[in-house]
Amino acid sequence: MLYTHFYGYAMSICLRYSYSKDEALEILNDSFMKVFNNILKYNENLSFKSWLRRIIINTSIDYYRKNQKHRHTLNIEVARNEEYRLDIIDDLSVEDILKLLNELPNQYRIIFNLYEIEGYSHKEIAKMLEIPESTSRTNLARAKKKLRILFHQNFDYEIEYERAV
Amino acid sequence: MKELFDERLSQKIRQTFDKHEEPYNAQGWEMMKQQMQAQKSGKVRALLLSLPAKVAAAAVLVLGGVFTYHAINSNESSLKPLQAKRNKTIQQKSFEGVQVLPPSLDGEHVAQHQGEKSVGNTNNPAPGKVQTGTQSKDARVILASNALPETTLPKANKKVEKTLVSPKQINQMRRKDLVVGYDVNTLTALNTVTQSTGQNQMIPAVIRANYLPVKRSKVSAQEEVNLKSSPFKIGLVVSSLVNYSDKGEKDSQVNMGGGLLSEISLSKRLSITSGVLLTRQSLEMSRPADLPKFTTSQSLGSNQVFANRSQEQSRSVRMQFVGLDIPVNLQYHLGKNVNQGLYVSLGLSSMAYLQEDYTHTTRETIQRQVYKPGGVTDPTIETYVSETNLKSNPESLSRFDFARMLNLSMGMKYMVAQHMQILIEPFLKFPIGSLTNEQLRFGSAGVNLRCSFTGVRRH
Repeated sequence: MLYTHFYGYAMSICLRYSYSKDEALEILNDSFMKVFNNILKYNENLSFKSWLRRIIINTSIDYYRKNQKHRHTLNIEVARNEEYRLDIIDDLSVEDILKLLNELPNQYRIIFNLYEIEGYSHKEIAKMLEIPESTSRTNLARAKKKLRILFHQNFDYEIEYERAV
Repeated sequence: MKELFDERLSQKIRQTFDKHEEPYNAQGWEMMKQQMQAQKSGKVRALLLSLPAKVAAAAVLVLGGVFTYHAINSNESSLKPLQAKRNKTIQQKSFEGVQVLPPSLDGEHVAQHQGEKSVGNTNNPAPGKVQTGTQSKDARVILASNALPETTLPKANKKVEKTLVSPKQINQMRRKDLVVGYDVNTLTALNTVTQSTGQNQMIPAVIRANYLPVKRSKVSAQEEVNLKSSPFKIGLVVSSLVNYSDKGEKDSQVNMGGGLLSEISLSKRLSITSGVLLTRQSLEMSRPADLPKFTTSQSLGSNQVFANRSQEQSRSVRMQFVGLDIPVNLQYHLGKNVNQGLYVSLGLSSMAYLQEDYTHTTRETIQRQVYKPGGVTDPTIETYVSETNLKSNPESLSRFDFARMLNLSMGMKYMVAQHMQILIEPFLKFPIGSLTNEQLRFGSAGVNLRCSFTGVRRH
């Protein structure tokens, strides 16, 4: 069955765009509904995974638009110490990464996912999210900065940091 | 340094998720099934809300109205008089003359007493008696009499003359002797004179139908429904129905009706519905056939004598009318949401009749025994069927049956738009009194399709 076969792959994408497994499941099912309803439009010359991935991303963006009013933007914490331990990065598990991503504000996270992981350009992201391109760039930068802070907070205990007011 | 960190972190995230696949969770598919089910019902709702669905609903209502109109207009042409059945030796003539009995089946049948003379005796034919003799080669039974008792019938109610003609004419006949009279509506014999049924004796025959007028009540067919109270709905109704009698007779013809119905809320769940429906209804019902059984004997000539004996009688009435059904029903919603769901309805209907057509059919099986002279051989037996059709067309709106029908129904209400509901309502109408000018008891069963609109006010 299509759903069972691609569940793991699709769910891993959905988790990056959602704050909980329930939300991820909702996005996943919405995406599969679109797949089932538009299966005749699928071009067999292309990879099904790519098609499914695109549908999931679009569904996630729709979900983000629908729920963005309910999300709160967190204050940006600024790290005082700019020292980094790159070796710790390699030890991160899926759960660790999801924990980091879940602490990002929604718009930061979605732009980070689209740019860094999916490989979209700022122009494409701006079009998809209906935001200015500059906003996409700014939010990506802030997302990365936030991830650094979160990383230090959660995994690099030897580096001191403090919260900016 | 931080750029390198960001790049490494992004790369790690990308690689991790590329490799990672979440374990399958069956709960996801269960949710998916529910979602698909919901989508399916949503599609149905969307279909109902769509413009084509609204156009289709309107088309159904219009077609129903056109069909009803056509049925009403073609009502007259469908009422072709039934032809009298012919048999070997007896023809029934002048049937067309019977149908002119406006406004109803009025009158009484009168039988004529035929002569008593034995074969060969042609002298002194007594009035009212048919004299038969050996020279007679034909036999004719006269079914009309000019010597009927005085009635108070209006001039329009013409006396009916019917003649049964056999292939051979009888020499003499008498008309004036009244033998049997009966009211055709009740078929109760009024006056019967019987005579011996010997081989050579003259026996009375049914010869005349004369009809008593049906009483009419001049009642207005208007019943106004007060729609001024504020929370109400109004809608169009198309109805398909089949008539039945309280004896269990059903009509094979599906009739149509249509009209307007309004609904006024009395409380949250209780409402009253009323309106006017133009309906066409039809039914064939059997009626008591207590015609007097008779026996006659005649001479056929050549020394042959026959005797007619009435054996089997049946009577029925075919009703067809177009009328106004004015229901007043109480409607109770079983669910909390009064805009959709199940409801039951109970009430009474009044009827006014715009056009009524009735065809009374009387069938009689007559056995004839032909005796040859000498009485040595057994008589030859022949069987004939005589059928008489009588039509009547009472005047329009000549009767109003107030609250003579009990309405029972249970229906489903669907909210298809913000101000529009579709109601599918199977119903049963049960007679609680006699209906129509012919005092018939019949009901109907069918389905109402109602399109109801809210937020409309009539002043």
